[in-house]
Amino acid sequence: MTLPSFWKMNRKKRINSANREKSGQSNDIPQHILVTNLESNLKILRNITGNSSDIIIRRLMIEAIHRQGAIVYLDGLVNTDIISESLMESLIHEKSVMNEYSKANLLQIIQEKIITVGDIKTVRQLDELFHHLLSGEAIILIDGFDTALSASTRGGEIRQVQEPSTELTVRGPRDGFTESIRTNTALVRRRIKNPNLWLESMKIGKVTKTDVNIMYIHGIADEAVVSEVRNRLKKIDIDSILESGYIEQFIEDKTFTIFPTIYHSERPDVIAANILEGRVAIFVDGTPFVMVAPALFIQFFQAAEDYYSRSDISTAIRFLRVIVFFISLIGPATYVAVTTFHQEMIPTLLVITITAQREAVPFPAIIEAIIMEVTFEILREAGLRLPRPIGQAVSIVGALVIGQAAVQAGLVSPAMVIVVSITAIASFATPSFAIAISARLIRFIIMLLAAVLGFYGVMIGLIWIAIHLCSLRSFGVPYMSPIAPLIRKNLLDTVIRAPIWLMKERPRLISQKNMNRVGRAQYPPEINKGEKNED
Amino acid sequence: MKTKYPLLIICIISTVLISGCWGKKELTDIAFIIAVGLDKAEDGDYIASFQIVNPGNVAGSAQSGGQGLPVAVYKTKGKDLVSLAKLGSKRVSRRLYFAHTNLVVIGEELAKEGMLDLFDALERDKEFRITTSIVIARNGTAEDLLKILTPIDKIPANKIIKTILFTEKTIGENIDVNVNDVITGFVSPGREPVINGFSIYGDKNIGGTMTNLSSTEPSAYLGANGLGYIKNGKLVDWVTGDNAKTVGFIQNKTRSTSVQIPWKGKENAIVYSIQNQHTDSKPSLQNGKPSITVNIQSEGIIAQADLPIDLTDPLVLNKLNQQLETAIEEKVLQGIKRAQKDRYDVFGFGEMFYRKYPRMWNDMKKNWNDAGFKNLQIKVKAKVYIRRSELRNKPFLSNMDNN
Repeated sequence: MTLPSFWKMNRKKRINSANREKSGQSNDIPQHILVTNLESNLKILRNITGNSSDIIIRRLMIEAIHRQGAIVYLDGLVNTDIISESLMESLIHEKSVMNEYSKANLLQIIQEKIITVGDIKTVRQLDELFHHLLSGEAIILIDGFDTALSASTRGGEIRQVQEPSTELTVRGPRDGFTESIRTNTALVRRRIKNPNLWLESMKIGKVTKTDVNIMYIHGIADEAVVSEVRNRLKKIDIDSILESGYIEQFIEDKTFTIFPTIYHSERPDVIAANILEGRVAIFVDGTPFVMVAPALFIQFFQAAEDYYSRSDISTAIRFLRVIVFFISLIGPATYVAVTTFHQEMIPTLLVITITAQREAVPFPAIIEAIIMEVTFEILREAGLRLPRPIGQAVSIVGALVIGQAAVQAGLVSPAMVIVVSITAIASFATPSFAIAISARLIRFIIMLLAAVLGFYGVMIGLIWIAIHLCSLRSFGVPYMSPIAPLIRKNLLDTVIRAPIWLMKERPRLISQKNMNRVGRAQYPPEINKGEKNED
Repeated sequence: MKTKYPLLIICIISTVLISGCWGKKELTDIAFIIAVGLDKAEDGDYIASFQIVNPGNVAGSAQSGGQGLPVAVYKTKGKDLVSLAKLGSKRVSRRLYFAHTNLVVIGEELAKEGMLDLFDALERDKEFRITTSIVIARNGTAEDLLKILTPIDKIPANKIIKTILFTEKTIGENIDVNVNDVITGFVSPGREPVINGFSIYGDKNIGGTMTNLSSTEPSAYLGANGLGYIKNGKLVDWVTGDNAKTVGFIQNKTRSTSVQIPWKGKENAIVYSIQNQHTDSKPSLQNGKPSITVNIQSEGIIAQADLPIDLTDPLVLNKLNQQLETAIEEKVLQGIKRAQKDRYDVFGFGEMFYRKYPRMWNDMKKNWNDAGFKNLQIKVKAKVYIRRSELRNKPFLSNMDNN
């Protein structure tokens, strides 16, 4: 059997067009370097930026060296206090170094004796200059020099650190990531005060030049994984990165899977814990969602709070989450299978009650289930996207439609309403939205299988999911570990959450070396073991 | 290779869809047969009555009023059970569904003539459960029994099942017997099955109408009525009262029952209520003759004392214990003697011998009921433990005497 030829032709075309795009989308900024004349430098800047009104050019006389100069910065991206206090003030008023300069060391003198800003660099290339300018740094141009100074004045309006809105805890830190990458990395640094916490930065996106940082602990993280993350990030060739989701789609191991193979979180404590387990965090500027790789399936059932509350309680809650995941996966499918194929499985009185409810319903159970599930998905989507005040109205209407009117109109049976609501609540109870949404999709497939084959179909669906999950890998780590392949020691932190002092080792497949994280004999002293209670 | 995947997927999907919905049955297309009644017609055919639930009238109060009758009874006539079930679909608009059949009622006539032909179909059918309870309509037909409406449990079949369950637990005069028990009773050597009897009390013609439910005292009601002894698949005898309790005792089914003894000349003065009972029957050979020792252990309370008595006195309690033990021994022995006289080993003594003396059983089994069981030496030993006397130590009557 051979392929129809047009496939191949198509592929050729695609390659051609890709090439064309590459050549067409050449660098926007000409590879010029600065000249010595201040006026022509400023003219170049204005030309390239199209006279954009948010680029502020402030001319000034640098009193100390008797030369014309200019400060160029982007309004809104810089901290204007720093510019006026540390740059303008010193450049205009400082006179003490007047006699020491010669042309050769002038820039050095300005750097060392005049400007009182933390980070300062010399820039000669125009594209480099624009990079600094557009990241919120102030450029100082001096007449007679083809070198500019770039002073770090980043600032401007960014969102304050607030409680994350997606992952709430009762007990646990209340800070969440913001849209600023520097704030985000600092939030993690604040938690791990160790020089081995390494940060690598790169820019991705030909147009947006988005800052992307990878953070890991040198000596704990697996070098192979780190370099794999680095390589995959470097391969990305795209014009823009607006959210970490852009990057996730480029670097995940398998695209055609419903399950997320990269974990993301809005909480610094979660990211810190993951980094400490040997994972690599990927920060993207402009989003509060930080990604972590490699991710395991079981991770999506674990919440930050599990580690903060006592182990028996966390274990019970984790069991609940697994049950909840199965309910949200096969809830309606079970109802359909049981009511159309396996009536003998329901207790007699219940089956009679359900039959009585269904007497007035004109549709087979599967149609009923699909109507309700789709209605619910519509309501959820509507409630999610609408402005908050209207969203409330939608949920009221939805509650009435789903709860009351649909039953009274004879479209669906009350039992179905219960099944749908339990399923909906179950899918909300899954801690990770990423996995809950996968369950939402699979639910429909399993529902159809149940309608066609009954429980046999449900089982086929579940087995298919299990096989698929076992085939997945996240940056080389089996997705289902430590369950498949079985790693006994790491089972202590799966559905079970053993006491912290018992989880002595880091996850084995993620961190290959430096496994120990708890010292010897850390179990809490027990009163009966010789130690007397002094009180 | 990649081209094969779409083909493979199409194959998989089409196998699923083409085979599609095999065995699918919507709830609203099913007639839930809650009870099956079997009778013998005069011409030798079988008559089956199907008690079918009318779901709308049973379930919840909110839905559709629920004013009609909870069940409907349809009748068919045929030569065998399978054709009876098939003929049923001519009269019922839905698919007859036996998986929720909880009760089989056999008319007394049919039971006396022999029931062996009925059970293969019941056991073989994949929908029908062998854990379905079975009763015999004493003094009547199964059809009549199934037609009676019951006030508290809306579905009459449920009423019958529950009644048996609770008489087993509280008096021990009935034993919850299902189809499987009867079949194992048929096949096991040295044990005959028993089946509960159920009777209509009152006017059976009114019992099947709504009128029966509209008065506090139903015109007709159903009640458990004794245990039927079965031999060779035929109903041979009915036992009631203490004789029926004996079966419950020896088969260890009784949970609680009561024993009355006289005290100081007053009849039924002390009532001992058994709360826990365990019976251990040991077969043995004495001088080559089979004999059985039945050890009955019971824990219980003094539930009633209608004369002055000091229940805190250990001596009194000791005496009570002895008298109660004798009373229980006598009653159980009497029940066994009754079965021995009629020659049906409903207790399973033969089975016990078969387990303990399998070789000797070969000789005994030929006429076990007629010879072995009949001449079996029975010893009954009861042990009574009075645990409490409930809320009172001394009856109020003892205070009256003192005044």
